Formats: sequence, structure tokens, C-alpha cells
Amino acid sequence: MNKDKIGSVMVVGGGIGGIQAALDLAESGYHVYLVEKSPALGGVMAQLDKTFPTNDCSICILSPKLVECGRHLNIELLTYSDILDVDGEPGNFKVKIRKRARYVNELLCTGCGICQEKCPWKTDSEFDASLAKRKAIYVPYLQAVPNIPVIDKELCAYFQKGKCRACEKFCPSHAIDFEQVDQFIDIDVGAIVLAPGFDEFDPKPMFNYGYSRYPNVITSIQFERILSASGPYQGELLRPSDKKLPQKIAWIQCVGSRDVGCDREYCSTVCCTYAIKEAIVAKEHSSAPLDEAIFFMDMRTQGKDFDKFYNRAKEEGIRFVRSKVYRVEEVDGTGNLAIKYVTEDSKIASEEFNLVVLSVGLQPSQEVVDLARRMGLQLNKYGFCSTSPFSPVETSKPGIFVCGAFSGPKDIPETVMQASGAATKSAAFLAPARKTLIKEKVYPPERGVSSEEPRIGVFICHCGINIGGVVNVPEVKEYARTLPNVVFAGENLYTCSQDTQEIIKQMIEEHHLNRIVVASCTPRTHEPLFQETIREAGLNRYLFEMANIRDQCSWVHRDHPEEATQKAKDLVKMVVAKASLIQPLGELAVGVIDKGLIIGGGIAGMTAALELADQGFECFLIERGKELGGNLRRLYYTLEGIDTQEFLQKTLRKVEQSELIRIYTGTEIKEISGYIGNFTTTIKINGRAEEEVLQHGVIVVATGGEEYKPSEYLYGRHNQVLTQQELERKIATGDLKGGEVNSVVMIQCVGSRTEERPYCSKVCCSQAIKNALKIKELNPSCNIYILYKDMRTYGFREEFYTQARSQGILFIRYDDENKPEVTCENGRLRVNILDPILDEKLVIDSDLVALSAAIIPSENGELARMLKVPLNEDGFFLEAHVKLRPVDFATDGIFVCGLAHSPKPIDESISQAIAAAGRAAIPLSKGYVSVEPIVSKVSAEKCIGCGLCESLCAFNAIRLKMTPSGNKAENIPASCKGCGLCAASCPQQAITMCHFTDEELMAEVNALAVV
Amino acid sequence: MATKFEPRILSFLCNWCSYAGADLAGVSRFQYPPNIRVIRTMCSGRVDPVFILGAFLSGFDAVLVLGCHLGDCHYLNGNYHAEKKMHLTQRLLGIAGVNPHRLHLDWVSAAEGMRFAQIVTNFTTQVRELGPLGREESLIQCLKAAKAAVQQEKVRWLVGKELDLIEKGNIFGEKITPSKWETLLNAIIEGEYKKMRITLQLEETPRSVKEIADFSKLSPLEVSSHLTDLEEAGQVRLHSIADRTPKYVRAR
Repeated sequence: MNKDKIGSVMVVGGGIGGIQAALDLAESGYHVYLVEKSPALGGVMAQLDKTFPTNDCSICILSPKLVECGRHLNIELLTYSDILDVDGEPGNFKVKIRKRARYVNELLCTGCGICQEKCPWKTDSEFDASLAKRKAIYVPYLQAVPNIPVIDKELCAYFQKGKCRACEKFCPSHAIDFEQVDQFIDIDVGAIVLAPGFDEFDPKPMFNYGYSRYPNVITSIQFERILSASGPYQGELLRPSDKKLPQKIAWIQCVGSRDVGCDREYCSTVCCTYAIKEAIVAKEHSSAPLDEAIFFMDMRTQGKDFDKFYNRAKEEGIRFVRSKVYRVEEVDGTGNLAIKYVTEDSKIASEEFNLVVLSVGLQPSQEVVDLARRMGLQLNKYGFCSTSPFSPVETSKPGIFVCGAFSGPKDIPETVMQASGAATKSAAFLAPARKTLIKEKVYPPERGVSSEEPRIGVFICHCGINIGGVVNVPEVKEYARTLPNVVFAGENLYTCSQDTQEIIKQMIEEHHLNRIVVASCTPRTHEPLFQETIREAGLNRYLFEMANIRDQCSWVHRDHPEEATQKAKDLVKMVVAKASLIQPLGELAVGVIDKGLIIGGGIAGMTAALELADQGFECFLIERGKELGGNLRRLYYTLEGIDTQEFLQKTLRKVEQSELIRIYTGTEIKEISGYIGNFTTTIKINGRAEEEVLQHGVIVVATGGEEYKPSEYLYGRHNQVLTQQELERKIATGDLKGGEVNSVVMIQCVGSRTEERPYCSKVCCSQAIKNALKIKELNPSCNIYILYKDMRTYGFREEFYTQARSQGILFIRYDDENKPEVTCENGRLRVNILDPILDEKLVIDSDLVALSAAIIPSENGELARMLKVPLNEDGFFLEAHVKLRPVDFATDGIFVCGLAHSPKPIDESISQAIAAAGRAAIPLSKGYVSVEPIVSKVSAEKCIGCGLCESLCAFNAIRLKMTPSGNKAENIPASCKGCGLCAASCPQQAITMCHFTDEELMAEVNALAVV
Repeated sequence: MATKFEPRILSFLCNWCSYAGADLAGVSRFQYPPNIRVIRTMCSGRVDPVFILGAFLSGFDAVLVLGCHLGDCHYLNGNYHAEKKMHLTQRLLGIAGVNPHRLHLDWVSAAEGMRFAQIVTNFTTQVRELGPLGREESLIQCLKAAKAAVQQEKVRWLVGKELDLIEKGNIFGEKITPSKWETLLNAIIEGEYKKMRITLQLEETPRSVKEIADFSKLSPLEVSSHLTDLEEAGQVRLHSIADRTPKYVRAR
């Protein structure tokens, strides 16, 4: 059976989820077909201006991934294509695809854009959410991959009326082909990953908000486009009706979410945080002070560091109005809008704004729902793909996996985690067929440049208006031309786009360039992309330098265009001076020990271990405690009512029975050394005298977290004050008799969202509702009061919140100024709380008080130090990038998952653990890692063997070695991290750092010398 | 009215924290004065004092070195070494007659865009108040001597060993107290600096003790004592004796 499995995977959907899944699979040894129904990859993320909570530029972080997908040898793009049918069986599916006619020959088109310029026919641009126009022949957006236009047959005059053909006439490469027809292709794949994303809710039918009647009522995605520098107003904050700067903007939350009226009971999870982001970013775009208000019910900023973002918005003066908006009306003749709403204390109010943004919810697209039905997948009542909390990336059919918003509304990092998770599951499912269908990348041979004089090409980026709006790019270009060794200088709208990569290669060829300088954004994100491009053009990757004229110039000197232009020139001059000296460096490959180390034996750690084992890799599972299981041992049922103990037992059995997992309980980690591919970990098992040494290639950190032991609300002083975990145990073990409790008070955010711990613990709202509903089962007449700050039952958890209210559970909101008070009167608990709806003090006598206590991180400091990875302010591990690298650390070969990363429910811990294991499996399956050749180099001639470098190096990467001419220092490239401390310290100045040599750095210093 | 003095400031940023912090300042659009020019190094520990003195020599009015916060170095302790190196450089600047505040070392994490912008703003203001560094020949000579001093084996060895000797002790386990270290280091760098002052003058023209003393504002006694050392080290040699006055020149 196994031998029949096919080593290729179809990924459906070209948004960030599909892109991540495709890249992970292609890197793990599978051939990938990436199918996207629109003409280009990118999905919704490409439309966003910024991403929360760091306000990273969305297209800037997405663009390198788009390009990587577009150029990956083992990813075959099928854009503008739909899946018609899926046949066959798991491991051997037959997929019927319709590849729509673009009427443009993909092989001939160079993406020059002339056809779009010449085409006379216009319609609303889908990408700009109808705020701008596009032509009948169009590329959806500037950075689109592939950068090949399509002809919109419905609009094209030739197709409709038989004449025009302007595009054909002007196309310099004769790529227009009106004869093209749709192609029908059958593709065999072993597994399918569904990443079709979501549609935004269309607010037209909600008449009361006035969308489509009033031009200044727009959706959140339209507002993203307005904010975007490449959007309809070039990033200027204007409102659609009169293109004037709005001074007052309102956001209305939960449009198409949490609304039984429009059949969408669920919470769309991301809208609260994106509204905050839009409000903060809008302030940055506005020259005048902005008055902004967000009309909301509960502020659901439950993700990692989101509450800090919420607090920042409040500090910046953004108003948060807890309310329900019932109507939006245009104020005659002004284009302004009056928002009519009911306040929390049931008063009717109205306020006028210049612009209203509807925070629209997420829903699956109808086409995808139809496809999923044809595939026979189980969907929930809203059409989202059904998954279990314990197998969050598996559909109801084996061999078909799901990630992203199709299985429920979620943000980018959750989507990326699930995408890596779905890729992991597919990789494990097809493990016997790994590497059977892949092609190896063949680069052209490297051109020898050592005998050539430097010939530098400089590419200066406008970055839309990000740079060009401040820095005079043409002037910088002209200046660059005059610099020594520069033989070519050009300017690009987006230097990172696919078409510019082709231009760079072309220029290298044409001008016989042997050093490339890009002046654009930061090398921290974009250097690898450009290095890959020049390598493809036959240049060594290290013949490349970048000048940061955006992040460190145009963005920070917005009001000083002349000085910024001068600075950009100087930065280019410095880098060109360095580039004249840089040398090609040989890349090194280091073997990988194909074993993993997993730290932490909770559900995240066990899941990661099982996933690695499923892919065929041995792993060591280290648990400090006496037994595996972690927090799962203290949970008995999920919100949906599934037995967690049964799941725990099943998981434990699998882990114990696995031949590839070596379990170490009661074990402490003493020391970790090494680097990706070659780690050495010393462990100490309780009760054993000797320490043991383990060798492995990767590390997964899953050290978990724990429930906070409160000091508040009489906890520990009254035996009827319990934490939610303690209450859950009492309920599950039958300790809590229904008849004994007639009044229960639950207090939320105990130890969370406080000054000491400003983060949200994410699970407690659902946990409280889960336990409250269980108590109601035991005693339907029990009065239950849940005292909360914001009910954060995001996603489909909202249904249980609705159910709880319908069963008579009372929810009373409190804020920091009016916290509840718990007292004990003659042994009986009494809770005092101010009810904001009644505006009255309530006194509740209670049989039991349950505290929804925070999730706090484990003691991670020592481990973080050993691993040399960072923790955030709250003590959780800090990942490499909050959006796009949610399970990686900046240090290669080390990954994170579960509560060690941030508080999260079981399903998210499991997704993340699967993702971490999958990411860890990539180097294991490759069998080698490439080592950056930025290492130190010793001149044996100058070295006198003093040994200072050896004593300074923190990584034992340089040592003295006896040679015929005495002791000489010697570098160990695989251990060298490239800091350059040895070079800066050597008494003989005998050591230098490749790519950061003394000469190169001094050339930068001296480039601006005053003569 | 004269145009306002705008200082030229060179900045070394480490890749992992301060360069990322500077990027974050950009992403967050925190505005700061456009006076700095940035050189990226992987670690603040890569910044050789030679680069700093080179920067002053090439006409920068000030140098800003930023690294990860102490304890957060991506390379464990590179920034501790950077601290020692910059401390040494500041002292040498003082000896060479340059205000040591023209070199500033600080820490910025990858999450501190605001802090980065503030440090740059404050430092720019401070240097603006200090005024231009100046390009007088005497100052250039002093800076050249300082640059040559930090290239001396003895100075580099001592600075490289500083952390070890203070924290772990020498091979006999003897620790040096920071104050004793201070005295020792000061004496050595001053000596090396003066030697370099002398050597630089003997680069082209043979000079007598008195001529050297006049030129470098050292006492003749000091000059002859350093000359003896330099002769022994083979860096200076006797050139000629004219009119019973010996003249020295740089040995090649």
C-alpha cells in the first residue's frame, strides 16, 4: 500500500496559509502544486497595510515569501485555476483542475505593464476593494506573483464587441493570445492541504449601517487599502466622498459576527485587534490630530501581546465605546455620518463622524463550501471545515488537511502555525514517498570575479512612496552613477518584486556586474532574497550589500526630504565603498544528526515527539516532573464536552509505545551546546549519579506554563474559593454535588490583565463558561454569576457564551476601578460588585467562588540562557517573528510551541506543536544545513599564538593548534557565529571577519571623509 | 548669522538588537535628526577602537556605538567587551584632548524603537552643543597617535584580558581590583599614546629630543625615556648626531 503513495501534495489557496504550507512541504522533500483561483498569490494579507500588533508592513514581510514560492523549484504554481473534482483515495488522489485562459502567454510575457497602460476599458479593482479602477487586462497588484496579467473577458471590448485589440498591438513581446482556451488538467497527488482562506462578510444586506448607500461608510478592508501606500489614495488618509482628510473616524465592531440576525453567531476573532491597528496607523497617516472611536461589545485582544497593543491605543487617545450600534445615518449635505447607539447602561446616544469603518467578519467563500461538499468533507453549520480540538489540522477525510481561516476565523500567526502543521501532517502521511518526486536546484556555476575590477550595480528602491515620497530617488541614482566602480545605477518601484529580480539578473548580464548594491529597506528581512537573485545570475551570494534608506532614513526623516536625500546618498556611498572590497565566500554544508530533543512532556511536547516519530525521526522527550502529561492531567473535558483524560491516556500510550521516542522523566537539563544539526545536551536523571550526554540535530521547547496561585479574593483562606482547574477537578470527580451549590460566582482575569501581568491568559473565559455549563447540568436551578472584564469567547466558542446566557447564567462586567470584593461573613462567602447596566451595587451570597486564574510561564530563565534565545517581558519565549515565524527562534534549529510561547487553549497548543515538529523535521530530512560563511579568519603569518582569541570566544569556535611554526589560532567555521569579537580584539590584528573585514569597515568609515 | 552647526555622526549598530531597534523606529515612524550615518556590524564587540579613531580622523564630529542590552547579547558577552573597548577609547580621547563625550556607547533592544530615536535625538543635541570637532593639524596628530596606540599589542592584550582578570583572575587565581586595574591601564595607555606621538613625528624627519619635546608638549625627560623604550623595541633608531645633538628617526 505504502509504495503506492505519491510524493506530491496539492495545496489549495495561495494566501499566507497556502504559501507557508507549500514552502514547508517543498523544503521537506515533496513536490507541491499550489492552486490559487485568482490570477496571483498573496490572498488577503497582500491587501493589508500593516499587521498587528507590531505594525509591520504587510506586503514587506509577505513579498519575500511570494517570491520564494514563485521561484521554488518544487512548487508548481497553478494560478487562475479551480479544482473541479477530487477522486481516488488517500495517498493517491486524482484532482481535476481547470486552468483558466489568461489570454496572455505566460512564457512570452515579461510583465512590462504596457498592455495595462494602453487598455482603454476600466472597472472597479477587486484588490483595491472597489476604491480604485483596474483595466480589462490587469495584474491584480504591484508585487503580484506571478507578474502576468489576465484579460477580463466580461469587460474586454474585443471579446464583447469584436474590436479593440489594443493590448495585442502594443505588447512588445507578442504575448497576447486571444485564442487561448481553458485547460483541463488531471494531477495525481498523495495528499491535499486546504488553505482557501476566507471572504469578508458583505455588509450590504445590513441596511441599518448604510453600507453602499453612503460613500463614507466603508469596510475594514477598504480602509486597509486607503492606508496602503500602494492603495487608491497612495497612502493619504482621505474619505471616499470628497477626498478630504477625515477628522473623526468611527469603527463599528462585530459587523457580520456575533449576530444571530445574519446567521453568524460566531466571533470573527481578528476584528478587534485589526480595528485597533487601523486606528493607530490612521493617526500616523494624518497630518492633523484625529479623533477616533471604536464601538464594540467586548474587546477581544486575546493574542500574544495584543492587550499591550490595546493599552497603547488607549494611551494614544483612541476612544473605546462599549455599546451596540443600531443605525448609521448620513447627515444631510455633509457626507458625515451619525452613529446611533445604545450605551452599556441602556441609554440611547448619537455621535457624528466623517468616516465610518465597518469591522466586517470572516466567512468561508461559497465556492469553497461547494468544493468541500463535493469532496465529502464535514462542515459546520456556517460552512467552515469541521475539526476536532485534538486534531486541529485534520479534516474528516484521511489525507486531506486544513489550515487557516477555513477551519474557523483566525489571525496570521495562527494560520501560519496551522499551515506548518498541515504540512507536517501531510509529510508524515506521505513519509515513504518523501524525495521521490523532487527536483534539486541547479544554480549556474559561479562566475570567478577575483581577477576582475569591481563593477558595481546599484539598485535604488522607491518602495512605493515609502522611500520615494521623502527621498529624491532619481537624484540618489544619479549620484550613485558617479561613485567609484559603479557601472550601473537604476531605480525601481519595488526592488523586492519578482519582475525586479529579473531586471537585476538582466543588468548583471548586460553590464557584466560583479558586485550588487540595493538601497531599499533593511537587510534583516530582504538580504536573502537579493542574494538568491544574484546567485541565480551566477554571482556569489556575498557579492552583495544593502543600504537601508527606508527604515533608517525616509521613514524617520519624513519632514526633512533634503537631509534624508543627502543621508541616502551618504549611505549608498558608504556601502558602495564597502562593496568595492567584498569578496566571494564559499558556503559550507554541515551534516545533521537526525534526532530531535524535546523539552517538556506536556501535550505540546508529546505531540511534537509523536510528529517527529511519525516522520521517522528518533527523539528524546525530556520531562522535569515525574510523569508526562503536564496541564492536561488537570483538565477533564473541553468546552465542546470531549473527554480530555481519554485523549491524554491515548496520547500517553502512543508515546510510550513508539520505538522512536525515548522518554526521560524526572530529568533536568544541565547544559546545551552546539548549533543546528549538531547539538549536545547534558542531562541529569533524578536518582542517578552520572550525567548523560545526548546528541541531536534540533530542539523543540515545550516547557509549558501553569495556573497562577492567586493571592486575591480569599484564595487559600476560604476552602470554597477555588481556581477553575480545582473546580473542574471537583466537578469531574463527582466531588461537587449539584444539590450543595445554589449560588456560584466566577471572577475572571485573576492575575491576568493586571499591572504585574498585562497579558490575557486566553483560555479562562472559555474555561469559566465550560465549568458554569457543567454546574448547570448538575443543578439547573443554581444561580451562576460570571464577573468579567471582556468575555473573550473568540471563534466558535461564542456559541457556548450564547448558550450560557440562554441558560440563565448572569454575566456582570467590572473594570479595574470597580473590582469585585469577596468577603466572608460567618463562614459564608459574599461578593460585592457594581453592576454597570443597573448602575447599582450588587451583593451576592455565594456557596462557591471560582477564580479564573492566569496562566503563568514556567521558570524559563535558565533554559533561555542555555539555549541563548530570548524571553518576552512576561517570561514567555519570544519567537523569531510574531507574524510569519511563530514557532521558530532566531537561532536556527530551535523551535517553540505550547504555553511556553504564550497562553493558549489545547487545540492551538497542538497546532503549534505539530508545526514546530514539522519545521524541526526540515533540516532532519534534508540531512545537512548550510552554514553562513561569515566567520573569522586567522592570518597564520601575523598570529603569534597568544591565545587571547581562544579565551574570548564564547562559542569555543577558535582554538590554538600546534603547527610547525608554533602555536597558531584556528577557526572552527561550524561553531563560529560570526560576531567578530576576536577580530576586534586580536593584539596582532591577525584575525579578520569575512564580509566585515577591517578594510571593508574602514572603507565605510572613510567613504565620507572630509577632504 | 552663521548657519547652525549640524554635526556629522557615525554610528555602529549591532545586527541583532540595535540595528533591529533602528528598523523598528522606522516601522513605528519615530522621527529623529538625520545626522547619523550607520554601519552595521554583527555584534558591538566587532567595533575595533581603531574604527572609532578612524572615524574622528575622517571628519566625523562624534561616534555612537549601540549594542544589545547587557545580558541580552546575541553572542552572549560581546557587548561587555564592547563596553571595555569603548571605555578605553574614551580615555584615550581624553588624553588626546578630545572630549570623551564625543563617543557614546548605549544599549537598544530590538523592541525599543522609541529608545533608539531618543538616544539619537539626545546625542545629536549633545554633539551640537559640543560644536565641531575641528580639523587643526595638531588635533589630527593627536588622533593619529591615539589610533596608533590602540593598534599596539600591549593595549589590545590588556583590554582583551580585562574582563577575565577582574572577574576570574590570572593563572594564579589572583583577581585585580577595578581601581588597581584603572591605574594600571591608565599608565599604560598614556605611555603608549606618548610613544606614538613621538614615533609619528619621526616618520619623515629626524628630530632631536628637544624638538620632539617642543612639538609634542612633553618634557624632555619623558621624551628621552620613551625614546629608550622605542629604541629597544626597534621602532625608533638613532639617525645622526649633528652638533653633538642626537637625532632620531622611525625605524623601518
